[in-house]
Parts: sequence; structure tokens; C-alpha cells
Amino acid sequence: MSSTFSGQSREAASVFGQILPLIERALVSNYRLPPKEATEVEQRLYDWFQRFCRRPGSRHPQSLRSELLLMACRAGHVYSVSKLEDLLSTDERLKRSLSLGPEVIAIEIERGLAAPAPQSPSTEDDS
Amino acid sequence: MRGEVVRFPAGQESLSVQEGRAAAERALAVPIADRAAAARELRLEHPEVLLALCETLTRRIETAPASVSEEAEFLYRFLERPARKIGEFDEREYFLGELALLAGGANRILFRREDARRWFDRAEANFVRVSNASVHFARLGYQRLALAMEERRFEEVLELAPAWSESSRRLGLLEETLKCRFLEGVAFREMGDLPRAGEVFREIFDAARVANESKLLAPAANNLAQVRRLQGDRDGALEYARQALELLKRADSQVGLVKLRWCVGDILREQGKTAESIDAYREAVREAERVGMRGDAAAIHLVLADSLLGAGQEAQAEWEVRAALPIIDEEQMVPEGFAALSLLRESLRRRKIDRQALRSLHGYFRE
Repeated sequence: MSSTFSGQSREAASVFGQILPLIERALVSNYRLPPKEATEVEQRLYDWFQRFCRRPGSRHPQSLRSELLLMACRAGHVYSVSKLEDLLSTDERLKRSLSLGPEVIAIEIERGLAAPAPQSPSTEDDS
Repeated sequence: MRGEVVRFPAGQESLSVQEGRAAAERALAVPIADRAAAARELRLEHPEVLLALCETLTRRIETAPASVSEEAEFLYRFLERPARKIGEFDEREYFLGELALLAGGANRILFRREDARRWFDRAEANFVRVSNASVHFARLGYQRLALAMEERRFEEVLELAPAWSESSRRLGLLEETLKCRFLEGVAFREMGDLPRAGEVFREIFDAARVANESKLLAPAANNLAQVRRLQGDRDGALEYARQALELLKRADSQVGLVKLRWCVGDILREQGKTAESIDAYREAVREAERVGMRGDAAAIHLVLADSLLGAGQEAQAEWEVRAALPIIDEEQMVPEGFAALSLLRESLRRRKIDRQALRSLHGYFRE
């Protein structure tokens, strides 16, 4: 049994590693989290995803990547709304991300996995 | 970065899966009355411990539903108030939903239908805010369907079971997919369509065998035994019952064993083996009481009383009826059988059991 769990844990970690560049893009570019805060959120997402994959009814971690990305966008959304209200008036991309909501942003970013979205000229962190 | 295995330093006290399980066992060993005071030491707010607690309670629900009901309710109340920060993101709502679902499932097995319904509502209220909620709604959908079955709302079950089964299949929930089909089979059986019921159970049996789902093979064999019995194929029924017995023992499913022993008692009675059937019923009722399945215990007491009357043991039959009636009153069971219940009570007062009323009444308990 324990080997199953460690196998599942490795798979969850591997999937997280695959999605991490997209998570970073979402947090830093779409939601304007400072790098330090983004890293903290990523740590929390990693712990969450490890346990999320073990909930009853969860499929293979690979098939849960959309849920991971959506949770990352939700976390970014909540963070931005609570911490960065003063930026809203000047940052069009952040304003757009918050107005569209995490569900739409997650889909946009995930679609960019197959065909990467063009880099935003206004940021250095999109890559 | 892509494809690498990453490991971050943990933000909170880090527990491995094994440590979480050990902590869960320690927590469950502490009496409920003392647990809240020791919550910090027992790490009851740690998501790894809560995950292990939910896994343990899920495994025990078929063996000890009464204890699972108490444990799940305690943990739910503990997490609910005061509102504690549990784990990350949606984990508090997830654990509240999962514990409510466990409490509801346990109460359903224990025949406490109104409590079960309320717990399912609580589960829904929490699952709605959880990531991947559709999976949990499908699991909840099965539980509600099972409750409808126990309330003998067969048409509703026949309408909704295929839809929930298909939704579960699309969500990759094999167990729920087959369990919904079980309910469909039972509804066919109860409505007298034995060929369709047999067909459904046979399909479940085959699918469970292919998928190596031993947990579902046992109830499939158990239900096939019951259908064969009703079709008059007693040898076929006993053969499936034997297979089910082995599988249920291996799975340590006390709930399944009670239902199987009850079924074996029925088969033996129909074969004219009255003494053996009485032994099987007695074993079933003992187990039902030990597990806390009060509804089933009451029903088996009545069936046993009927067999004892057939064997000319009227005094013992009277005791069995007297054992069943308080449970039926306390649990407010079979309101639809009120007339039969009144006739039986009246006949008991006259110390001459009304066998027709007895049979009508235990007919209402059949799943």
C-alpha cells in the first residue's frame, strides 16, 4: 500500500513540475504577485495538490492538471484582490485577469500550453 | 523545469502519509469525550491527519457504522465551530463535505433516514465550494439514491440510477458506476422483474471481476444469490451465496455478511430446512445488533419469529416479535406498514401472533 502512495506522490510531484511554468506565469504575469509571494503560493499549491490527488474519486494526477491550474488562478485572484487593490487603476492586464475570473484565465493559460501565448511586452516575467 | 520532480520545503509541520496514518490511529484511540481538549497534541487540524482519518472511517463504515457515525459527527463539529483554518485553499470545505458524507452514509446504514438526509445536505453545502466538485456530487448522488431505495421509491431509483451510473462512469468513478447499477438491479428485483435484475447483477459481477474490484464482487454475488432464490433456483442461489461468503469475509464487510446470512436463512427455509434457517437468522440478527444495524435487526427478528411459528415454537416467536417492536417504534420505521404493525401489536397482547400481519410487516423491510 505504501508503495502505491509513494508512487502516486511521485506522479503528483511530476505533474506539478510540468505545470509549474504555467502556474508561475499565472501568478506573476496575470495576477502580479511579487516573486517571493508567488513562491510561497506555489509551495502551498504543491502541498495541496499532493493531498488533492489522494481524495476519493480522484483520477490519475495527470488528468488533474486543469484543477491544479484553476486552483493556482483562484489563489492568484484572491491574493490580488486582497493585496493589490491600488494597482487596479493602472494595470490593465491585472484588471482584465480579475474581471474575467480565475476559471477563464486558467483556460486561457492552459490553452497556451499547446501554443504558447505571445509574451507581454510590459513584463519580464511571462516566460 | 518541465517534467521534473519538485519538492518544496513545507509551510506547516510536515507529516508523511505514514505519520498521518499513525496520528489518525492515535486520535481514534482517544475517547471522543476527551478528544477536543487534546486536539493540538493529536494534530486534529492537520490535513494529513484528517485525510488519514477519512480513509480509516471509510474503510470501517461497513464494519462499524455506529462508531463511524459518531466519529464523523465529532470531527465535523470540531472543524465547523469555531471556524478553523484547515490546510490549504478548499481543504476545510472538502473535509467538512467528506465527513458529512461519511456521517450520512453511516446513518443510512443504521436506518436513521432523517439524520442521513440532513448529513447529505451538509455534505452538498460544503462540496459545492470544493475543487473537482462534480466527482463528490456523483458520490453524494449514489448515497441519495441508496436512501431512495431504502425508502422503497423504486420508480425514482429506476429513473435516476442509469443517469448517475453514466455520470459516474464519465467521471472515472468505477465503484459508484457499479454501485448505482446495483440499486437499479435491486429495484428491478423488488418490482418483480427478476430476469432484468439477474441480468444487471450478472453484468456487475462480470465488470467487477474484470476490473478486479473485489469489494463489489461480493455484493454482486450476494444479489445474484437472492435473485436465483426468488427464481426458484436454490442450488444456484447457494452457490452464489458461498462465493459471496468468502468474498465478504475477505473484505471484512460485516454489513454484507448480515445481509448474506439473512439471505441464506431465506434459502434454507425455502428448502424446508427450518432448523438450519433458524440458526442462520439467529446468527444474522446477532451480527446486525453487534454492528448497530438496528433496522435490519428488527426485520430479521420478525422473519425469525415467522420461522419459529412455522416450527411450532410460539413462545420463542413471541420473544422475537417483542425484541423487534421497540426498535420499530424508536426508529419510526415502516410508516407504510402501520396497519400491519397495529394488528401485530394487538395479536401480541392476546398472546396469539397474527401471522399474516407479521408477514406483511417484514415484507416492508426487504430491500
